[in-house]
Amino acid sequence: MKKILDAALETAALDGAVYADARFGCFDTQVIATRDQMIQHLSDSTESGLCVRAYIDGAWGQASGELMTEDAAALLGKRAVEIARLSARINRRHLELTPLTAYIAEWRPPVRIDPFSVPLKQKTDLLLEINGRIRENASVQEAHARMHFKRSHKLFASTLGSFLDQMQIWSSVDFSAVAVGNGRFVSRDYQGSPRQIGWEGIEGQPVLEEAPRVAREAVEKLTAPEPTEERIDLILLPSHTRLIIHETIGHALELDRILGWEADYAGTSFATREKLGTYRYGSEIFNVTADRTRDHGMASCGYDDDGVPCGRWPMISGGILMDYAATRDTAPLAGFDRSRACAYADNWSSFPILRMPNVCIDPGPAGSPSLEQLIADTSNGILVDGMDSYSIDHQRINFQFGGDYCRRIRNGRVEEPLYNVTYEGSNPSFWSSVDAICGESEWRPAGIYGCAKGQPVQITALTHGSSPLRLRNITLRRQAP
Amino acid sequence: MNFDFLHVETMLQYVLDQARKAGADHAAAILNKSFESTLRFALNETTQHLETCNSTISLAVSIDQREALVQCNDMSPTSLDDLAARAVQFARLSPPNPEFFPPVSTPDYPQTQTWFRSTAELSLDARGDAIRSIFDLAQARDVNLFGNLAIEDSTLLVANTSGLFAHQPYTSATLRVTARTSESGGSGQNASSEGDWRLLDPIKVAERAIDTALMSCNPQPGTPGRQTVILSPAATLEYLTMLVFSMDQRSAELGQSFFSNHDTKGTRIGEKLFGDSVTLRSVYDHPNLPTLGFGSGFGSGGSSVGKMFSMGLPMTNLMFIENGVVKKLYESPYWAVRNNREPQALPFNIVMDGTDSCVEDIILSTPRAVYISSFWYLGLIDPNSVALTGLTRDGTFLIEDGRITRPLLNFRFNDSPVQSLNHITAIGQAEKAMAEFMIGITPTLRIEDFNLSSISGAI
Repeated sequence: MKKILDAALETAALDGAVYADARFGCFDTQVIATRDQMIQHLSDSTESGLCVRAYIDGAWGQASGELMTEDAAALLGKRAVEIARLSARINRRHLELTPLTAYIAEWRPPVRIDPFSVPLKQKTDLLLEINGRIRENASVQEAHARMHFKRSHKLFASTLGSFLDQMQIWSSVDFSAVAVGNGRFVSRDYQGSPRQIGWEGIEGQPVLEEAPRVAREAVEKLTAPEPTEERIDLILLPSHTRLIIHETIGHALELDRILGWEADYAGTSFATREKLGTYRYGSEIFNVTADRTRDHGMASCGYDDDGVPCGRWPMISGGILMDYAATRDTAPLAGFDRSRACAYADNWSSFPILRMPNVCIDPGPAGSPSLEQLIADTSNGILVDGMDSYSIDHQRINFQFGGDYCRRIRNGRVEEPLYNVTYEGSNPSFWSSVDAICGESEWRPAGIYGCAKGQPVQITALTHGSSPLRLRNITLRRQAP
Repeated sequence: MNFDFLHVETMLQYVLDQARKAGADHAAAILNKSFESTLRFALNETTQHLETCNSTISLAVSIDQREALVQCNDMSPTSLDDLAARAVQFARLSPPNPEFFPPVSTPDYPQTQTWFRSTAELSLDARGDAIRSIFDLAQARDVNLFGNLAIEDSTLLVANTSGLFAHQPYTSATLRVTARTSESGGSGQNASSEGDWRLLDPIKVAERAIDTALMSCNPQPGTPGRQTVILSPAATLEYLTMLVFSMDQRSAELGQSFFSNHDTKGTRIGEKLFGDSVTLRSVYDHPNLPTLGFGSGFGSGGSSVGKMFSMGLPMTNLMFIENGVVKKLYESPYWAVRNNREPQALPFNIVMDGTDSCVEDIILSTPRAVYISSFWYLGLIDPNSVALTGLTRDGTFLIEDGRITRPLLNFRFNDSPVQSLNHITAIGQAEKAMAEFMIGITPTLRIEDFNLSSISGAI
């Protein structure tokens, strides 16, 4: 395979590329979706191909194809150069790249049991058993359970002399109960946390024990009252914070958005360059860390798709905006001399674009309250579990989110469930209203599988994490028209 | 050795034969061969420029109603042998599907023109010239452009063990442009997608975005609350998308939809749920929206293999809402047959009937309203009522006494198209529009009592 990659790079260099890289990618995906005792979807896909990216006169060109021969690779190298030359002719300004040295390395995720090696029947049996447990609740109309496994194997070579051999493996299981009655239909989800892990990550989740709870909570939602429009305290569990970390921090701190590169589709960001180091993003106890090296992190790997080693860095410290996610081509435009290794291509043929790293809220320090203490200390609030609806403006300022299962807190006690809880907030006042974050023992990672960005759209996976936390005086929206 | 594409029918037959030999009762294979190019730009500079050639083959099989679906992009005989063996091996391990739908045998399907040489043979230089021309225009008018030119030249081929062989090439040329002023917060967006490159006018697409950007400079906060709005055709399409996605027959029958009648335990087909002026359909042969002549069923119920077995159904035009009355909901092929209805392919577009009124006439007759050019990030809050939230974007204006008086900051809204389609007081001409998940032909709408719930400071 290295010969094929080299053939592409040699042609690109001969044709004038200042820099070029070549990626071979092989992507395996298995998806099993069930409804009650039926397999609705069972698919197994393998796709591979070669992608060559050339950089000339400050512009990129990329060509990719599925044929894996040295001749085909050379043609891709040649075409990538032609495309880059045309881009350079159109542009008035040269795109600069941060400096990079060569790396020769192999990276593998901490996986014990390759999920693709596990017999299919073992997977379908577990899914059908989950559904069976859910349907033991006679008030549930339907049960759905799904597994999703993905393995990406990338070989990267560049004209700098790098050769990187990396594999990522993701596994997830989730399920939901659907109930109908009282003139409404509802669902309650078990939003299992996908991770870079093997089959042991599926076996390690108490899915059969959780299924009856999920069923019961779905049925409770049928008769739950809707909240009134009011201002109230929220206690958010990590199953929910992943949504708001993702939308209000992770995307807001992507440097390509800040530069305007995503203005046509994914949007831009309010967190502009001049705010670094001074802008108050959250309260003083609020700290956020980016980390592409975290074990089992969905976005973790050794090197990004620019060939830059991945790392860990603070994004928000003591509530102050400190840093962004960046790539080789976006960093210089903001005056940085180093990439943050956030280039990612979701398929063998995709162009590497800036994608969010794993972004997590740090746990509170020793002596922080437990969740139990936090609830006991809240007189009028809502405990929010799981993700539901979400919407945020294109600069990541005004947002509205919903929880999957929400319960009223009165005088320090968790009471009845509520239906259709959505709240509205805006950056930065929202995170400035965080007044308590639980400690490390209650910190949980929570993965996101399907973050879409780019044109054509690319899908990525990443992890957010936090401890339970409380926000004061947040606006609830009443949805009944 | 790879198969010659010209002999692709032989190749598909080979895959089906291999699946049969391995024990499959039924099988269907879909091959998609594609060339795609994308040129992305920001701040009047290219940021990405790529081309991709790929062929993928998907194989669905069933054995005693046990099913599996496999896919690869290696067309070598060894790989195809492995594909067939893998499909059959997986199917044998699956429990029988009680909602089985066998492969269709379609003797004939309508012919539509979806492939154009002008697009398929568009050169690299021509793509560059098009983008350079809109950059020049932007620089002359002192705005920055952001967006994407995407070209596709693909062929879809379907074969199954019931004797079907259907194929159709298609091309598309899509240009999306957002224009933004360097200062003063002006922003406008426009997009166009054509099968035939000759019908796509990059300058016209960019001019409209630039005009809106320059009109929307220095936006001021409006007043949140329930009020009259005028939606552009693109905003109308975006707003209707979630409603269309909720029009699933099985979900309605099971009580899992706004279109469920919880009293009768049936659907709301036949009920007048919307204003008289609301007529909504999917059209496969619209001259401005041609789709493939064949397709597959869509909707809940059955399996993904069953839906792939339905690939090859002839396209038909479907009327969903006529003069406010629900006429039809879409359904999966299994659900249709189970209920003694003909399975139908679903054209993925929306056509809402318009009138002869131009947008200027509608504005002229409006005492006060907010004009909404685009919606952004719509989220479904409650599927029971199709309650949505989302934001305005790229050109929001105040209309007073029959004219646009000033640009406004963007709003968040909380409302439902179910309510809004009963509050229409004017409909304009329908025109081709693009939404995030849908393409269609939709009119300008004036809607009363629309809930603009808060202001967004996003520019």
